[in-house]
Amino acid sequence: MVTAIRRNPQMAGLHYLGNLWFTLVLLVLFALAVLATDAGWLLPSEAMVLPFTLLVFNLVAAIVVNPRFRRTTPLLVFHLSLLALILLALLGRLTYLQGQVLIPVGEEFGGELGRQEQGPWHQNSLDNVLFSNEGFEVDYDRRAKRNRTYNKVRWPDADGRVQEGIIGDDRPLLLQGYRIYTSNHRGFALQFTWLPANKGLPSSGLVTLKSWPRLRFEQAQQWRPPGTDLDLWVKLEFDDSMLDEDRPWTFAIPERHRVIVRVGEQGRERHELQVGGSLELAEGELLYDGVQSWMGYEFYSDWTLPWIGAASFAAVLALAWFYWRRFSARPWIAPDDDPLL
Amino acid sequence: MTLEPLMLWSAIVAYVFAGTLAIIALVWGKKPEGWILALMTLGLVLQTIFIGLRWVRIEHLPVGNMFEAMQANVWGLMLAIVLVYWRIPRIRPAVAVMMSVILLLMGWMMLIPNTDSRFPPFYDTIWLFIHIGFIKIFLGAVLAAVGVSGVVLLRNVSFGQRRFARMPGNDSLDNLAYRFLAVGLIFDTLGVIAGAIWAQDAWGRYWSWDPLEVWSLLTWLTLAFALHLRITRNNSPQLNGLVTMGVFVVSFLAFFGVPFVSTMVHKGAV
Ligand code: HEM
Repeated sequence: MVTAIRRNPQMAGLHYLGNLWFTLVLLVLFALAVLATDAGWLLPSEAMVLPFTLLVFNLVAAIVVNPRFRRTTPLLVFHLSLLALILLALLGRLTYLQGQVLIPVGEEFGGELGRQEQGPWHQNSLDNVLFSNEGFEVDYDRRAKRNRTYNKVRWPDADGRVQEGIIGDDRPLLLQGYRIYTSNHRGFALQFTWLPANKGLPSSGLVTLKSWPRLRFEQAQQWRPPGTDLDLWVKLEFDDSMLDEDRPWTFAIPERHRVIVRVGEQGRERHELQVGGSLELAEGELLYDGVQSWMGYEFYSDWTLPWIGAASFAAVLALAWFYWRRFSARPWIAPDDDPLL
Repeated sequence: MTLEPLMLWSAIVAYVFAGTLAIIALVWGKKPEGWILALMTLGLVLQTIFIGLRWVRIEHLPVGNMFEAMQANVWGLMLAIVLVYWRIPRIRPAVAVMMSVILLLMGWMMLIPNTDSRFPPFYDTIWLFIHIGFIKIFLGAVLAAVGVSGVVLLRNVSFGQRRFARMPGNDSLDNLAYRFLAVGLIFDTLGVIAGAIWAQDAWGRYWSWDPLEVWSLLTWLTLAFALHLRITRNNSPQLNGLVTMGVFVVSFLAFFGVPFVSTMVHKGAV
């Protein structure tokens, strides 16, 4: 068989391509690509293109020309699983989606993510993702170390019936092929109503503040009431320290708080608002309705997951099978190799 | 001193005695094997009690910070050494090589502040045990390979030739190192898979190129390289021994070095 291959010039090319020395070179190339990724010189997906492509060629050629693969089934299965893993990883990169969004309690997901990245072949079905954030519970230990998140969500099932469940840091909501987890971000949002001076329609606005308690000293935000060119600066302040670093704490809407509003050039005018309070400005009236909380969500989509899992299991089982057969055939230390005898 | 640190210190003392005895025995050509095995086992029992006490006190497996992870690694490696020592008596002198590594690691461990760890929420899962368990077996297998390869390499000098004369020949030891590396590859693969499943559960993605993941991939590739080199050309046991040392350096850099320069055991966790 091998001599037949050698005599056939086309097969000879395959023979070079499937050479084991080439595999060694490619393993080094792969390692260098990994290092380049780690150093930040290349994006992982860029760095992996060349080694993966060459490994696929090398492996396929080796499987065709190297008789060892035909003699040893577990070895063949192991390498085929590696091949499958490479191809699945590639397909996964082409079709994945990952993104984030934040949703105030009581509101629904609006079909769009705040930040997202996706592979060129991702079929976006975010428009069909329907769920609402129904509130969450989370405890913190001393030093604001967070425990598990319990977030109640509602969504319609295939028959349109409303379902309710709890999701969290490692418990996703599965909808339309997306895995939706609560993220590390959660915080407060200020609810305002704006009554324009020109008797226009009142509108309500929700100003989301940064993540709490991680960014608890940055609870201020610029906000422009709809239909105006007024730049307001709003800040949430608490009467007493909400979070005592030395004591456990449970995430809750602050009972006693106020909102500082700064208006005018460089925020020269300073006002304080309590819930239900209002502020008269030349452009209209600002009503402060209260604080809400919001939850951040991570969206992931990658259909290759179960296949990658299956290929990994096949690989490791085949590897164990291969070595088991090889090693159980002979003892670990040959009894005849005893210098004392 | 309360019972918990007492157990740890006694275990360390037992290991230090066992290691020193193994090295002295080699240099002077003595065979206090019963003592060495007894001391190593005693140390392991004491350290297991330490782990149990701390587990009960802090209410989770003590592997959550650098100190705890390091002592857990020492525990895993000692278990591997005791098993090899007990099951393969013909290679017992190689334990001097393995215990030298342990003594170094313990010296390193003493430099790390011994603080209680706290587990982030996603540590509360069976995957923690599976992932860490597989990696421990992998490291133990690599250390065993280093032990026998160390003997092959030390035999290049006349001291080593004399002291290791009663052990099996180089070809036999080389074959043994090969088997340990192969077992290492199986468990490294299992460890990485378990880690990926856990990461998928905890962070929604199975791979995020954090430094520890990068280095565990490099370790895996180094192992693949070492095993492939053996089928690509017919190497001398010496060359294979050097390659095994290379695998050792990369895997110990990955599992002992990287967590030191990174803020958490896994950076992807933050
Ligand atoms: C992609 C190109 C690759 C090719 C062409 C290739 C080819 C081969 C061949 C021909 C053997 C022969 C085994 C024998 O003679 O008994 C082998 C063995 C093996 N390969 Fe690969 N391989 C590749 C990649 C990999 C990778 C990425 C790994 C990762 C771990 C790997 C792991 C192994 C192992 C563990 C063995 C068994 C070695 C032994 O005999 O102990 N291979 N490979």
